[in-house]
Amino acid sequence: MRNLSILVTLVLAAAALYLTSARAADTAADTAAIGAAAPAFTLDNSDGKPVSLADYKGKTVVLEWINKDCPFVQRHHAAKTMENLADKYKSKDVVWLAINSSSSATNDIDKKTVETFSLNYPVLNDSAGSVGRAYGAKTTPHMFIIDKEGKLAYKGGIDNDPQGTKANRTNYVAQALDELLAGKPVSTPETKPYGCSVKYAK
Amino acid sequence: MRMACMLAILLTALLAPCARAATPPTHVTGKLLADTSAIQPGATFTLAVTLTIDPDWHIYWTNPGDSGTPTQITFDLPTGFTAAPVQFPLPIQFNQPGDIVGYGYRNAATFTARITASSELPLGQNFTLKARVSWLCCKDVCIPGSTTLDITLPSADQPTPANAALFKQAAAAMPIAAADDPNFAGKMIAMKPIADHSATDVSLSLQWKAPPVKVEVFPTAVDNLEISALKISAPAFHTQISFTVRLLAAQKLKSSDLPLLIVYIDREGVRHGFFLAPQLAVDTSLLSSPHEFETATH
Repeated sequence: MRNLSILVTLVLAAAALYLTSARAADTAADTAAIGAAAPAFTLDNSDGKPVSLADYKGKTVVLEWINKDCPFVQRHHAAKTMENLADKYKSKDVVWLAINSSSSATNDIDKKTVETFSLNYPVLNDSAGSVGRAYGAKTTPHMFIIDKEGKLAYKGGIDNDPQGTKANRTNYVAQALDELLAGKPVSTPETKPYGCSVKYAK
Repeated sequence: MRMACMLAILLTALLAPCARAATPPTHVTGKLLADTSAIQPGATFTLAVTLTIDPDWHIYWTNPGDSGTPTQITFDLPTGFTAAPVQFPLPIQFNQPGDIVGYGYRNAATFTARITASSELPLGQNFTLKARVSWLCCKDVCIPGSTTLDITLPSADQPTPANAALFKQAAAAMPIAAADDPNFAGKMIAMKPIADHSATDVSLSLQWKAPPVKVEVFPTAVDNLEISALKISAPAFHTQISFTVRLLAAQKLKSSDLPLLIVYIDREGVRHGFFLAPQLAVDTSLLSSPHEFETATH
């Protein structure tokens, strides 16, 4: 009888554990779903000053996962893909933030990233990877747009040209920003991102 | 003249170290080999590109997974030659922190392609065949690389086989059609039809004639579909594979076929692989119609 009750307890414990882990996975998948509230965060910029998503309430926010050593990031920054967009939409209440979720991220490395690419926006330090994981950031670059209501409006690649060889490419971020600023629904709210893997802490 | 020559030597000496410094190590070297000693007019033979990768570095399969770039091989052949699609050997999976899954190769990989020679080929001449190869090689950082490999073969009426061991090994590492696998006995898919853009559970069961030691699943790249939470049951006569599929927000599926590469290790420790394309149950409103598909591609 005692053995039976131990067995029952074990089975229940295992079931509870299974349910908890399944629910945790579901939550993670839902967190960064299109139309859902974008995960809140506070991270240091390269000067060590905290930057919160909440600071930009009522504005459109673009998040760019970055790693200065990644050739995909280097290609886009050599072409000024992100800087030009950040500049273009600055006057329209669009805030551009880069996030470095590499386990090796430091404020110094982020400062060097800003200098190397002459960025006109900050790089935030997420060396713990918690913000990257909350958004499900997989690649550098991986782009997210948060609308004025704080909901996720776009996630995916910067454009439809992973190899960087197309003559006519669609920049999904520019397209989504144009649609959002015109009060239209985003026609392509999710695409498969491309790039290097985000080098998260183990 | 002597002055110009000296200047040229000086310039070369000055430029050479810079040029060398500007080229980062690619961590990959390539070799191009043929399975024949000579090219017979109109005959089909096989070329193999073997890439040797530095320890701990990896390159990518046709579907790189969550990140990376597929390895690409294109041929530059004499007039009248044709090349069949490049065959990629069975990949391995890399799991990186943050649930980032990659598919590709470590250490070495041999890619092959069937080449058909021009039937008008004059005999007794040499012909050079080239393979342009590009890859992304990653460890803690990623380094793109490319190379052009070449091989020169004479044309002859009675060629003899060459590099037999390498080609035998390469063929053994290639995936085959499901119908050609002697150990695969059938499949069954169970799922609720995909009716919206949320995740849908899929259950795929495979039957074997002899239970494998290990089973792996490699999804080929399907546009607009995210495959996650892949689980594979312990080896038995039936292998239960479960995963979720999710259509990207506001996107449609181009085909209900879900091409997968199934890899298994048999009791002798040999790795085999075959392609399987189970059909997903999907609400027709989420399938792009053939007409829409055509418009999209042109």
